[in-house]
Amino acid sequence: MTTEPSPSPNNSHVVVLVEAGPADARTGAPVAVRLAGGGTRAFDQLGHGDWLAGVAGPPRIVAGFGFAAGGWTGGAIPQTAMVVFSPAERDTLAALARHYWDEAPVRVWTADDGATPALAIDGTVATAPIGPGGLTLTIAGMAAALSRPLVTARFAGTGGLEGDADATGGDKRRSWGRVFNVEARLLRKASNRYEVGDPAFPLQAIPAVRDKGREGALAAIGWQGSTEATLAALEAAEVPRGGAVVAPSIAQLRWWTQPAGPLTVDVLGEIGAGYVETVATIADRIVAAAAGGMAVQDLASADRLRPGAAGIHVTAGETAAQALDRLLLGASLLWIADAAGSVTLLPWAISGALAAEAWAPGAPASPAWTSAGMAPRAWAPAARPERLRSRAVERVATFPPVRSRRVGYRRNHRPHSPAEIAADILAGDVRFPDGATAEQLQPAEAGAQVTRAIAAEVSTIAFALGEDGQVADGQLPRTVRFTATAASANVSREASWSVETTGGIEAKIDNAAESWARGVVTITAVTGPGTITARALVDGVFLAQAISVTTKGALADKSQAGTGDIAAGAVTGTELFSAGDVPVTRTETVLIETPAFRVGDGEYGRGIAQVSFFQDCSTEKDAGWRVRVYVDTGAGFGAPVWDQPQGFRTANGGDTFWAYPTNLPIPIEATGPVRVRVTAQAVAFAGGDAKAGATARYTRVLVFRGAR
Amino acid sequence: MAAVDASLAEWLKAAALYAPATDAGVAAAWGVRAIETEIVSPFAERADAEAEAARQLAFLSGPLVLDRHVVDGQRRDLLGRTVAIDGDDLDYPAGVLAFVIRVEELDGNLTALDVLRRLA
Repeated sequence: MTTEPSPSPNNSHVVVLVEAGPADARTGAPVAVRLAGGGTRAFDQLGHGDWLAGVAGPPRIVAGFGFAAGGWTGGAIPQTAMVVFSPAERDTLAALARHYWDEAPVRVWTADDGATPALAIDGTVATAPIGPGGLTLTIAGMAAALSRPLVTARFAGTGGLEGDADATGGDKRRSWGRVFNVEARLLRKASNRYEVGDPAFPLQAIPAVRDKGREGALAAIGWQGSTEATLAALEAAEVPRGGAVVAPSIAQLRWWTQPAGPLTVDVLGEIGAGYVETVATIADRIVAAAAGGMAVQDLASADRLRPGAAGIHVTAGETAAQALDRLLLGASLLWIADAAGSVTLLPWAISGALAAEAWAPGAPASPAWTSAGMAPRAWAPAARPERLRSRAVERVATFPPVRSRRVGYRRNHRPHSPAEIAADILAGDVRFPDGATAEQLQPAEAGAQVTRAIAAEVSTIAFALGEDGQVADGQLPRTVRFTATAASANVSREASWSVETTGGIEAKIDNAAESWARGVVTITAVTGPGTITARALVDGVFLAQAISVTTKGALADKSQAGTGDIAAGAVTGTELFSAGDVPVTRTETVLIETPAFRVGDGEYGRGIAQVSFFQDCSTEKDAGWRVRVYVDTGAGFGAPVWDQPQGFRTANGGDTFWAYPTNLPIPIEATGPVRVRVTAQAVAFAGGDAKAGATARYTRVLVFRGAR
Repeated sequence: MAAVDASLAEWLKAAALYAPATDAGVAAAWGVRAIETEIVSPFAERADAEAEAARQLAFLSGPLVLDRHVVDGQRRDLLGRTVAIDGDDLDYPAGVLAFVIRVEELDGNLTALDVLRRLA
């Protein structure tokens, strides 16, 4: 709602002075324009004699807050003032019409006739339409400074504090007070360095860092005298295993490895002139950050309105006014910015509540008008409701009654999807009707066994290849049954199955509803050795079991190609190496290292080393074994030829015991002597670990010489 | 094995934790015509959120109406205040308390006030 302004003869004893700086339409340079009105003398105020007469009356203010059925809606309507300039000469208006008025700085003074003018408004022009009534300047007050984005700085991607090139353009976020679960963003991949805010504004602390919701151990780097030195110390620091090193003074941290999920932090926000964490003090910092010189009026009193610990996290795009709304409306406070650059905080409350919450009136800012007839008071809180006489009233809206109000706290700035939360935390979240959590129902004693498993009827299948390298007739298709059990009962029909293969194998699995053949793998094609892994979802837990496929060809070594005869002295047959039990720990441990052997000779020097052992392990939560196989063909053991960093893994979220055979077919091509080394290493995941006593048993390397 | 806070996952998935306040009188009188609303506060602790919920419900439980009054004077200073209004129309006996959410200064040294007042 706006009101059409018009000259106000009642106020002719009030002098209004308007000094504006619209831009010259051609050059863009500011042009000084001075407008005046009211009073009875010539205008010579403020040391200028070029005032143009025609200001119709004092500025009129429109200000308000949004309100709807659900409560206050934010979007506090910025305070605006309208000044109308209606000169007697049409040419004067024409001269003003040549300027570009938008965003022009404008100041308005008012005074009783003959008195010293007092600054009433210091703002910018929002709109400047010209109509029959003259030029109407709509002036956005000091609140205009609050309507600009609060966060404008961005990471340059130039290295150091500014991060890798990939980090270019990331906004430098700001946090005040207690802020929870803010996503850390990658700055430098090589050292797993992350930022949580603008490095120019030191944070009080980073008290928690989480990967997939799980907190890690923390070490902190203090201020080293400069941002560069602090950064260098952060980069040089040793990161605790499973945790982070934080440097709150530059709002950065390093995680010990590449995080598995969203990396989030809790923050105690900017220190500035001293760390603050109450609603009013944070509002004061936001106001000051948006516009130098602005402040919350009577901060100590305002602070007593809402003394609880609070916080806010601001990202790019949010204006200071929006941030203030978000901070204050949730605490049922409103804010008003006045011409003098001070912001007043008031409670949303009717009556008694107001009296109880009111504070002693602060000294009002210099009154805008001194005339008793005009006398708009300064924004000083009133101790008790003022009694008013209504001249007219209309009903505008009715709002439904509210029977309950939920107020959120501890705002989560990075809501996680279930997949982004570590399994054990999710398990703690599953609640049964009696209130027990899934985690509480899991076996608690050490070495407790899980009751779900998949078993395969065979661990290895061998196929004979013909001379042409194809599987000889009559061997395909071949079926292998996998069986899923839960608490010793066969649940294969209830499980959901899938199959994966490696190497030269094609296979499918029966997952048809109500089929008794569920879990049966049918091998349809084999062109070389590999593995078949059946997976089943049993009671919400993914299980897997793998078997090996080997191919045994016609003996490769032939002295006379094409005759089919095996030459005397050819390298053929099998050779077995075995080792005893070996404890498996968190360091890589050799299970077996064979002496040198030959797999073939001449141009057909190839064979298969069938590595097998038995995993006997109990774990605390998620853990696994990383198994590596190395082959030395004469140049020493180099990188492993078979390595699964995730290893053989249990991932059911609770304590697990497993004991199952492992078979790995390792093709080897070498004409000279070779050696095979097999290692195992316990691997921890997400807080789990293998318990003492993990042992690899019955380790064997069976060499099929001349096989392919 | 470290104890895991059972509500941690719940919070990680949500926008915030919530503290509710309910007005039994309004619920009984208005039933389903009464609404439930929520807002996320900047507070960190449950106790502060509970106090805030009670405070907000006291303001909002209502039912509230928005009335527009015209009063004497240029009264921008009334924005955000409670006022006591006397009037001849729309059931304004002496000193009805109302909260000013919008001011608009008018010609003739008058001000239009948008106020929230309780209907009952």
